[in-house]
Amino acid sequence: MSCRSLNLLKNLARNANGSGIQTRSVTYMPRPGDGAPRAVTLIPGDGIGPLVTNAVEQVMEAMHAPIFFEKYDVHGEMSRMPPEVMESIRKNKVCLKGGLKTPVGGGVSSLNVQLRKELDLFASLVNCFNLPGLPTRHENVDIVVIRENTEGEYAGLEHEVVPGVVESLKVITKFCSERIAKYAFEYAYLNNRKKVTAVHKANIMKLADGLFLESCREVAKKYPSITYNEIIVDNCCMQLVAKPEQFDVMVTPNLYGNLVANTAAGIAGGTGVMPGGNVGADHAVFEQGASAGNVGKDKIVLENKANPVALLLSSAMMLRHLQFPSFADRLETAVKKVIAEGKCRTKDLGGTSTTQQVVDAVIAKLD
Amino acid sequence: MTMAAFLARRLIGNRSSQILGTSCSSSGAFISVARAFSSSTTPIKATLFPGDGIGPEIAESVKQVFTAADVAIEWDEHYVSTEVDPRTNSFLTWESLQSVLDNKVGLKGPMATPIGKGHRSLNLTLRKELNLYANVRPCYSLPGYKTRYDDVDLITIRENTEGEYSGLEHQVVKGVVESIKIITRKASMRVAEYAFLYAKTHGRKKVSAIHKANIMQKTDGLFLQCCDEVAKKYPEIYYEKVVIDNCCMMLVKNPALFDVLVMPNLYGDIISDLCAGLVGGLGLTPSCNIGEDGIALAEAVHGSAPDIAGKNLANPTALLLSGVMMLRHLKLNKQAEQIHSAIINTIAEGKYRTADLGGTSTTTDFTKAICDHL
Repeated sequence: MSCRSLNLLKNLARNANGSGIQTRSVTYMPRPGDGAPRAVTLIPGDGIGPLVTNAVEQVMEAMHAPIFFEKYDVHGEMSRMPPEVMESIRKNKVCLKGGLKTPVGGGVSSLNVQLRKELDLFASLVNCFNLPGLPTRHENVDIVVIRENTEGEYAGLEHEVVPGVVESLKVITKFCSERIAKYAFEYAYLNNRKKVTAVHKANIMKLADGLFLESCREVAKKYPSITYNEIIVDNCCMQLVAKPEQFDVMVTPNLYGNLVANTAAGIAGGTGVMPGGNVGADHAVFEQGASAGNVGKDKIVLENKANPVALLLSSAMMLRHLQFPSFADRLETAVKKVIAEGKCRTKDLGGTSTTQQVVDAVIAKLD
Repeated sequence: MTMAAFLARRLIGNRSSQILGTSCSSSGAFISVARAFSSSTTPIKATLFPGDGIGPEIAESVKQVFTAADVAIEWDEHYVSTEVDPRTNSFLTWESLQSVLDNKVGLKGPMATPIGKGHRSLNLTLRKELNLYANVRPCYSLPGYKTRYDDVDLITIRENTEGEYSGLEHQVVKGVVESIKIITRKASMRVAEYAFLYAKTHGRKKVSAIHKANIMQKTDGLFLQCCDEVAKKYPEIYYEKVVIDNCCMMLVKNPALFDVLVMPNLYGDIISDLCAGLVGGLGLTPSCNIGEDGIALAEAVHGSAPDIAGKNLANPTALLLSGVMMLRHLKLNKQAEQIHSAIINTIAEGKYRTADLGGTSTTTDFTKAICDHL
């Protein structure tokens, strides 16, 4: 028996392996010096934030990934982001963050929103997909929701006209709508996605959402190979629940994006597993895809049962963004294997493991 | 509630019905008392708007089923005219609106708003003129029609007059548009009061207020304040506040967590359609609009489906279930229950189903099957 046939058999066995390690057929050739460790700002945040960011730190350590974290302590009750944190993010250009708790109804504006506005992170991206081995009511879900992150209903312009009557302004500008539409189509083009859907309520808010749609239509003309269609937000939610496989990339203004992203995350497995990030022209902040109603329940924090999968997958997105593709692949494969196996799952996925157990399982599966 | 109304309810028998309760105003209560005591020889007048497209066919269905069930209702039919009525600035005539104001109940089929400028949309006209402030949509899994969700049983109550749908938009400079969202204490209190009253009269245990007050602190904050105040008056009902994105996520993961949902206009629009999607779509969902002075206008929320109009293929379930809601509002609970069971059984049996439910029956066959089940 020659070595050749033995190698052939090995290759066959490897390719037949269902969970698919992505072997690159042509290698990724870096520039000299690309392997130098990159600094990444890390903001653990509140609630489950410290637990899940710690999970990421452990896994990065285990992989010997070429990044090191500059940790900063920020809490939701602070009125502003501390200037040294902003300095650090501007210098490093990339940040990984847990959730920051926003007090409900109180006079402090959300730090999450402040961060996005100051760094002009105008696009928020959430990738909702079915994980193999995690049964949900819906199959074949693979939706990317791209949401305008700076204006719309979150402009924060409210005032009391007379006692008992309050007004809130929703601002839509051509500039912001155009750039988010451009980002969405560019994303679809670079990731070989076939369809972009714009979500709106222009039958009621004719001027505001009408302007958003106009911008989308103009940009769509420049990408003739990508199908473009529009859908009203209430119909969109209904279709998401009934036939999610019809959606591919969705581009939305601020508020609808929040709802659609959370609905899509819910049908594909929950906020505990969906990765996401916010990106602007100069900076990128990665965090859990869909907000878990602020920062998750206190009980989960006490019992250490937060699900680290979402942030782990977001950090894989971050590694790709930093052009470390093989580390990203290894991390993603390990996480997917752990989920597919089903032995180690936190409470939101129907299991009983703690955060640390999931992390250990992922580290064990790293190759 | 007034003493007389209270006694009357005890006499009639306060059967915890699934769908609608009485309104808060005392004049409304008196009218329903009067109605309840009307015998079958004095039929109740109700306005009927068959609407466009498939509207007339499904309205015909409703009339047949109601006649087969011996419901003493006299229909006062009104159609959308082809010209704009200057008194109402829309295609709905002044007479139609007066008819609903007089009869206090109505049933509306799908209406397609003609495209054009210079007149108000039909739904907007109805809402403004009749002061319909709350939209109630019960969503429950129909036994026998399997969707991905089996245990849905919730009611969405949506504020219907203000919020993001005030229609106040303007262009500040070229390329910058502002849209104004208005929340007032009066409207929020009104809908919160209705929601809690509804929960109480139907034996519901929990009311959830849906909001985004962490971002829109003053507007949704005011809405929440009003809900808080009303909640204090009903200590036996469990009250919680849920942020809307969390609510969407919970609804698609586990809809059994919710019971009664009360929310401002935009969120209500989205959530009520989402819930309709959970149980099978707009073709099966009833809804009812509540106005001041005890007005109730039940309507089918699906579109007019012009492509299948006149072909006897339409599914009348939504309009029929809305009709049932209307009957419960009129306190004709026995017949409401009869018709409701007949519809449920027909769908559960599976022999007669229209095309949108995956069957091959025509509208008339389906209607006949329901009448047979009565």
